[in-house]
Amino acid sequence: MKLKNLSYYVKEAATGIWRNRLMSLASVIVVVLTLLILGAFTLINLNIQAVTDEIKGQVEVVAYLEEEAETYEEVGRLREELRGLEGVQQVTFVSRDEALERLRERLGDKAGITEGLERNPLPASFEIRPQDPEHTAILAEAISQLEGIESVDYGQQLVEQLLAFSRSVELFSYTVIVFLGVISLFLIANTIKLTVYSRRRQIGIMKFVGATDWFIRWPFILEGIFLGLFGALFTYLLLLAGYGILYHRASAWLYQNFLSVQMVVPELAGRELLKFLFVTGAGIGAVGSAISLRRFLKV
Amino acid sequence: MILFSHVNYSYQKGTSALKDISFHISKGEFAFLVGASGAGKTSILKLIFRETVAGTGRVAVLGRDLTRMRRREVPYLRRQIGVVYQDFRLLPEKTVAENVAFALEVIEAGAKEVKRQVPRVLNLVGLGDKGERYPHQLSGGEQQRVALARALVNNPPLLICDEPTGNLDPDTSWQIISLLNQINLLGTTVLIATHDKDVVDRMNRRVIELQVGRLVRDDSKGVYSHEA
Ligand SMILES: Nc1ncnc2c1ncn2[C@@H]1O[C@H](COP(=O)(O)OP(=O)(O)OP(=O)(O)O)[C@@H](O)[C@H]1O
Ligand SMILES: [Mg+2]
Repeated sequence: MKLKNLSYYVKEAATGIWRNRLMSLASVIVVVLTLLILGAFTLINLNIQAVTDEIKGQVEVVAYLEEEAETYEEVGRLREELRGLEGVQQVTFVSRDEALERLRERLGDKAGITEGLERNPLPASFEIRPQDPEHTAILAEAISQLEGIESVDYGQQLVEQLLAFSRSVELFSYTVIVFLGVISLFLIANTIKLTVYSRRRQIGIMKFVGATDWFIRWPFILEGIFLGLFGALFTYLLLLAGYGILYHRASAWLYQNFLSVQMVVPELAGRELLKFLFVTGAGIGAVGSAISLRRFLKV
Repeated sequence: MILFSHVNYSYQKGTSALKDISFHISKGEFAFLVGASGAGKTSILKLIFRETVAGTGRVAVLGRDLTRMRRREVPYLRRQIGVVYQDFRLLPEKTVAENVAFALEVIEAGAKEVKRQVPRVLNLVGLGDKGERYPHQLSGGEQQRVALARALVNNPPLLICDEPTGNLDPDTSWQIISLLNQINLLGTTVLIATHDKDVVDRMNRRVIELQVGRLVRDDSKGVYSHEA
């Protein structure tokens, strides 16, 4: 594309959008729907990624004790056994009282809800830090075999669950995206077809005075790209507003209730979305009009 | 300038629109292409600006062999050929000046060139004062002048017209033909496909006659038909 023709192309593209404004609007709406799902998935994934990374850093095996094992001798025996395991760096005992105390701390001003408890429902546990985080899973497996250990918990499990969740979200999104993507392409192609049709006279003249094929095509390609970009812009604003509200409401709650899970801050999420949505929107637009031009513009 | 050598052309298999057509038009000539409806006049013009490609035989225009020309070279050929149609083909939403300028803009001419050439051709066709009007505010003859101005704005060495007077009354027709003659005197080669007997007889210039796809006559100073 020659730069000096750009203003002509843009003018023509804008005229085309305006002339078929209803079809243009319909295409933009469907692009928005497609990108909304795509964008929402990106946001979910972004957060899962952040959480996963966070948890991977906190490698620690938590081994919960069976109730009967919670005697002075048993705790002492288990502590020695755990220290004796290969690859263990540090072993800390957390009694039931300590566990309750930690919970109260975390709940902060809502700690009152624990007052009504007749007996402490939390199990005692050992927190075991491995020498090599890579071997957490093997170590956890070995610990779970020990007598007196009810269950073990370690970051990796949560990581795996999160990844599995992320994968199913992904699969679902892709299915819907493909479906909506095809509809967007179709609608954009149809809008461009209308533009081509309403300009057949002009195109005919351009051909016989010697305009090149690409000179004739560019305005239509740009028109498609603009439709895609409009869609991306609306989607961006919607998602950013939505995510902002969600972040505001949910972030503090999450932090208090689940480990130290933190949502990605809106500014960062917005930056990721921006690139992604605009590139995808422009892509859908360009491909949509290319499809249309191949079929309807015999230059 | 234009060379047809044993050209055959058919729109569909089995039919034949042009059969073994050979003729040569030199630089600076003024020629009429005559024949009954369906004789093949438009088909010949389409071959010249390569809207279609000859089935067999050779078509050369402005020194280029069109039968072997590549698609992407076609626009550059067309920039050297002005084309005028019977139905004018103006854009109704553009003014006269804009219609003419459009032809330059879409071949990527600079703004300076547009500013210089548009008034020049509008004056040449006698519409110097009507540039701001819209096509529907003009008479048929004036609209044809606009079409002519658009065809000439790029200074093409060759001008081809498909029944340029088909929709006009005899007086206006004669004005258009006189204008074409004047343009020819300025050095442009002119080829006109027409049914207009009066005009052809009055001009007494070269006449190439077609009958159902065959070239039957080529007189250097001819009239529309021998029988008449
Ligand atoms: N697009 C087309 N498809 C099929 N046949 C066509 C097509 N265009 C023209 N023909 C046929 O080719 C022959 C020559 O047509 P052409 O248009 O060249 O005639 P013409 O001399 O220009 O006639 P007119 O004076 O009516 O304009 C005719 O038999 C016509 O039916
Ligand atoms: Mg014809």
